[in-house]
Formats: sequence, C-alpha cells, structure tokens
Amino acid sequence: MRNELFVDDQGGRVRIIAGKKRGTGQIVFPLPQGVGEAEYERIELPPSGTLWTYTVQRIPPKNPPFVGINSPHQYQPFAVGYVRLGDEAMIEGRIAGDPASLQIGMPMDCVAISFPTADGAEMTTYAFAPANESSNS
Amino acid sequence: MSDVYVIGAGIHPFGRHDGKTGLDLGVEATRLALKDGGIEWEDVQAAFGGSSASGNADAVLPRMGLTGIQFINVSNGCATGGSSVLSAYWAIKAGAFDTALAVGFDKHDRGSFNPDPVKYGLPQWYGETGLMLTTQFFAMKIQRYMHDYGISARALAGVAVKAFENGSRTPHAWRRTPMDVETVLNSRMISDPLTQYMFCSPSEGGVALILASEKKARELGRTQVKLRAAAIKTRPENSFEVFSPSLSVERGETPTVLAARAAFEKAGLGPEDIDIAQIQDTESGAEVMHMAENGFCRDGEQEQWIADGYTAIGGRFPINTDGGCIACGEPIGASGLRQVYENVLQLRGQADQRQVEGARLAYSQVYGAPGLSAVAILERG
Repeated sequence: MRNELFVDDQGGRVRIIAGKKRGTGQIVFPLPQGVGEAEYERIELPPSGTLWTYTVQRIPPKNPPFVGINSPHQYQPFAVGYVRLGDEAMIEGRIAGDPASLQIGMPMDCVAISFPTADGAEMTTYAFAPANESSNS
Repeated sequence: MSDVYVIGAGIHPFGRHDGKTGLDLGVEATRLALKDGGIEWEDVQAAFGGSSASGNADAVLPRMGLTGIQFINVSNGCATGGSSVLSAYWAIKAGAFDTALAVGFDKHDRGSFNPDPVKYGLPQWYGETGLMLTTQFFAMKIQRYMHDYGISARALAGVAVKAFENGSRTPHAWRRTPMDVETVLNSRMISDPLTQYMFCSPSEGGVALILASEKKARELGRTQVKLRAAAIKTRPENSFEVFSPSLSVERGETPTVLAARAAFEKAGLGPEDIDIAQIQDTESGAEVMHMAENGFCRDGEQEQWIADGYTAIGGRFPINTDGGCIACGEPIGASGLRQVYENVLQLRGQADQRQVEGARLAYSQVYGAPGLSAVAILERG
C-alpha cells in the first residue's frame, strides 16, 4: 500500500494508524495527507475492539475500482464491518473468516490480510477477525 | 417573495428502453411537462437539470430550441433530482423568474454503481480492497438499526412487497408484478440482511417539472399544486454516512433529519400534517429508517406499521405510492423528480388505481451519496 495504514503489534495483531485533530481530539482514518495534514497528530488505535455492524459482500464488486478476483465462478464473498476500537473511533474494513459466525458486539482483533488480485499479484490490507479466531492462528 | 407552483409535470416511464438514449427520455419528459403546463418552450425562463450517466442535461437545449435560456447542470449524487427542484424553487421564490424547468434523466449500465474513490476524496485502496459500494453501507446501516430497534427481516420484505404492489398499479413503474413475502425473503442475498428484491436497481427514465410564480400560475389557471417548501442538508458530524472509512463513536443526527426539519420549519408544518410521502427507498432498509428520520414515526415503530399495512395505499399513511425506487429503479438524475411527479398526480387526483383519497399535503425526500438529503413539500391548491 502506498500509504502506511497499520503497524504490526504483538500476537499477530496490527494497530491501525489514524489522525487525531489537534484542539478537537476528533479521530479520522486514514491519517489525512496533503493540505491541512499538519492539523492532525499521527496515532495508533487499539489493536482490538467490538463489532458495531457488518454485512457480507455476496456479489463480486466491479473492477475498477476492486482489484480482487471478481469472475463469477472464482469470487469469494467477504464480510465488511465497522469495529469500535476503544473509545476512540469506529473503523470500516474487511472481516477475515467465516461470516456466519459474526454477531454485533463480539470482540474483534485488528489483523493484516492478503488477497489475490485479478492480475495474479497479492494485495495486503488491514482487516478484522473475531478475537478468538485470530489468537488461535 | 412569490409562492411557487408546480404547473406542469411529465415523465418517461422508468425501466429499460433499448433504442432510446438517456437524453431522449429527458426530451420526451420535457415535452410532456410543457404540454401538461400549457406553456411553450419559449416561455420557459430558466432551467436546472441533471444526469449522472447520460451526459450534460443541458444537451436538451438543441432538441428543445436554442432560446438562450439560463441552464444550469446539477450534480448531487442520487439527490440530483431533488437538487434541481430546489434550484428551480429558489429561482422563482427569489423573484428572478416566473417559470423554470427542472429536468432529469439517466440510463445506467446493469448491476451496482462503481464510483471512483478519488471523486469522493478517498484513497484508491478503499476501492481496490472492495469497500467502495453503496450497497454495503445500506446493509450495514439497517443491520445495526435492526439490532437497536428490533426490526425484522420480514418487515424489510414487507416494504418490498408493498413497493411491487404499488408498482403494479403505476404506468411509469418498471417492476409491475406483485410478489409475496416469501419470494422476497428467499431471493438471492446481496448484502446481508438485504436480498435481491429488497434492493432497487439502476434503471432508465426521465422526468420534467415546470415550476411557476403565483402570478404566472394564476394567469395560466394552474394553481392546483403549490410547492410549500424545499430544503437540502448535507451530513453533520456524527452521522453514519456512505463511504466512511471511519466514524466517531457517538451517533448524531442525519442529513435527512436536518433537511426534514428545515422543510417543515419553512412550511410551518409538522410530520403529523402530511398525508402521503415518497421517501428514499434505495432498498427496504432505507425506507424503514427514513420513516423515522423524516419524523413520521419513532424508531422501532416501523415493525408494527408495516405489519399493519399503515404504509400501503388505503393505510393510515401511504408511503411510496408509485412503488418508489424499488419498483421504478433508479435513474439518478430523474429519481428525486419522480417523487415530486408522483405527489403532483396524487394531489391533482390523477393517480388512478393508486390514488390516495383526500391527500392534501404530500412530502418527498431523496438521499444521495456522500450524505445529503433533499426534501420537498407540496400542497393541493
């Protein structure tokens, strides 16, 4: 990824990097870049939290902008959700693992995932995983 | 400031129309609106129009006549149509013009929209990783709402069933075959908890409205429908909106809550005064949540309202009487104008099989990415 979105943490978890607005304390993700970026302090969010809401992307997203494999026969549905990380912010991201196990309020960890792209490469991004699932892996 | 009237309304039916361009649909709607309003193109003094996928709306000019008229292209996401109405409303309200056209048309590809992250000020990875989908947002918003307020999947299906029932009575609707609850529930899951038939689809269509000052409306003998108020509001802090990589932990008011309040204040009315409403139903969940955000019921009351048929034609408070986006599909530029068109017909008593008897105040609300809402309130003159 071009911009730094997360850093490694202990136990296979990651910490997502956000911006904290000087003065107001408002937290935004990703960390703003460009005009006005000096108004934000770089912070690392807690590596775990709770699931606030979610859905499952059952149909393949269009390319562009999606770069993953989206041909109807090879597409793998994935879950997406918002996870509340401490009292700081709620972050949107993909959710690793079986969507059937998801429930609002369940504990989640921040992790890194890689998925194959349509052009044969891999893309790495941050994601969330049910807490027990990521600690077992 | 002058009162504003809707004197003419025209629509090209929504759906799929091979062999016609989006522009064709807009031109046809404009001709019908002029005829309905009893005025000539040369009498239109200002125009506002929008199209998302079919070029500049101003392309109607060579087809209608190059009269030198002020034409402003409007682009405001799915609320483009509502924004055109508001622009025409203010142009007349301000006394600058006696007549104005609001026109919108579109012709979209099949399947979900695939917006470019950069156009929303978002990094490319947001789209590359599979997060740039409006459908995900709608699903996640209603998922949380169901958890908080006890709305069932059956209620979501009920919204779609009503939409197809109303669509079956509406000549301009696209999907005109009634469907039962089980069929909606068992159709393909698109984005949990929303199934295929709970979603509207991008479609094709055109709508045009002619607005006029009170003086002009009286001169033409067309004072049947008054535009009491119109308002647009964008997202405030702490609102849960589409294409948001992060949210604050506090939940606050939404652009729809703000736009509703602004329009009611301008009109000197409240939600309890309204007889019928056309509200944004991008999918069943949006209709459920917009019922509360517009002030028509409390959070959670929708479950009972839907089960008891309150929102059906013949119910206590009919919603989306022409089947809404779910039955009509969504041509972005025209969609918000369709809501107003439907309200015009209802207030004139011209809605035939779907007529709501005695409707006097009619409300419309359209929501658009990345988080704005446009409201218009019409009154029978």
